[in-house]
Amino acid sequence: MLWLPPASPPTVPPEEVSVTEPLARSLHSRRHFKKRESDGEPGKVRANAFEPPRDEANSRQRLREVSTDRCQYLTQDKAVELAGQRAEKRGVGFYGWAIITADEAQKSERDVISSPAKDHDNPAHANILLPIDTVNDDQTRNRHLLELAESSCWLGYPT
Amino acid sequence: MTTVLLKSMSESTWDERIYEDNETATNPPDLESIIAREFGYQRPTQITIDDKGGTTLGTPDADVHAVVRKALQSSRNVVIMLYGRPQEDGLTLHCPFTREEATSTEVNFGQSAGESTSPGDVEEVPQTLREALDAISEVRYVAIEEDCDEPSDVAIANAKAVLRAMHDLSSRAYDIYPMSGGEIAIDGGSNGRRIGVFCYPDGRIQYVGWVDGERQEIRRTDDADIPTDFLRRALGQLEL
Repeated sequence: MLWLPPASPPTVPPEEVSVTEPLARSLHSRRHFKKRESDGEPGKVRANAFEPPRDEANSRQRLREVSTDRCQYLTQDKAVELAGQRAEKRGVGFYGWAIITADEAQKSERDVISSPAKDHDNPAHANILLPIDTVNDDQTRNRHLLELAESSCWLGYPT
Repeated sequence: MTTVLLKSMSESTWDERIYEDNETATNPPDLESIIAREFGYQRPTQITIDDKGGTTLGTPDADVHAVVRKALQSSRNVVIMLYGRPQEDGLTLHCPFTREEATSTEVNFGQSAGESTSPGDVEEVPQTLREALDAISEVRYVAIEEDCDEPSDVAIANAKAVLRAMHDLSSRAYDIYPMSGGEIAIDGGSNGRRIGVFCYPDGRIQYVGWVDGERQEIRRTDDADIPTDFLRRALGQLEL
């Protein structure tokens, strides 16, 4: 899947995320995707690419939010810049994105919520919100993560 | 002549290089030099052999994420797998095992007691299955590198049992990786259709796949009852 740059310079994104919007989750581990060994086949996003962070208040729980960027409202250069900031902050690398449409992301009682990140100057940030029962139920959570991975395409960087 | 097969993880794919060196019984191959030359690693790093016959890596530098695994393919072949990335000034992997240790048929890192393979066994296991079983054996170290919870022995044993059952049904290549909670994921298929099996640290196993046109799921508390019919149908969906 190709990056879909905005038709015009980035503007303030609408609050509502359209079902047709592609979302990009930046990947910060080479273990979150698998390159195809044969040429011409797309890479595969793994389920662990969508794992939400642990709840700092209760490490046995997980948050529901899976962080993404709204592709239509970012240039790829800006998305790379944002991913680089995340990588630097966490002391990890950056290996590309998992691209998924909002339509696929919000299936199975998931939701997609616009969530501008003011601290990173990123009005095009959005969260995939996992159902509430994924906070404590690891099996339900993993089923959702596999679904998200299954519906995603890997876009490597540098391309 | 000794053959050393070097496998390194690079961009999530295995890079294999075969190195052959003249050696004698009194002059075993200098694996440190081989690895340094082949991979450009410079910095000394300690590797020890644990009581199970495997190698563990002491990593004095927190940035050096590396695990070495060695196993025998035959009495004269040694397999060394390198993970991680070298520092800017490189990383030297020092392998202190002797030829006698390296050629011991008891040396099978990552496998539990009674599971060690003889050189003959290795040849009988299909490559796709062997690679996936190796990946399960190594997933503990991958998990450590990734700051994931460490998979338990029971999770690893369950994953191997399930993988063998899946491979009997479909000899496709399966993708093995750790989840952050210590689960081991066995992931088949590609974009659009997947089958996923998650083996949990407490012994639970979860099977997720497409059956009869819809996503279905089976949860088990252990590996005593592997749902082969479900797996067969879900794997069949991947062939469509």
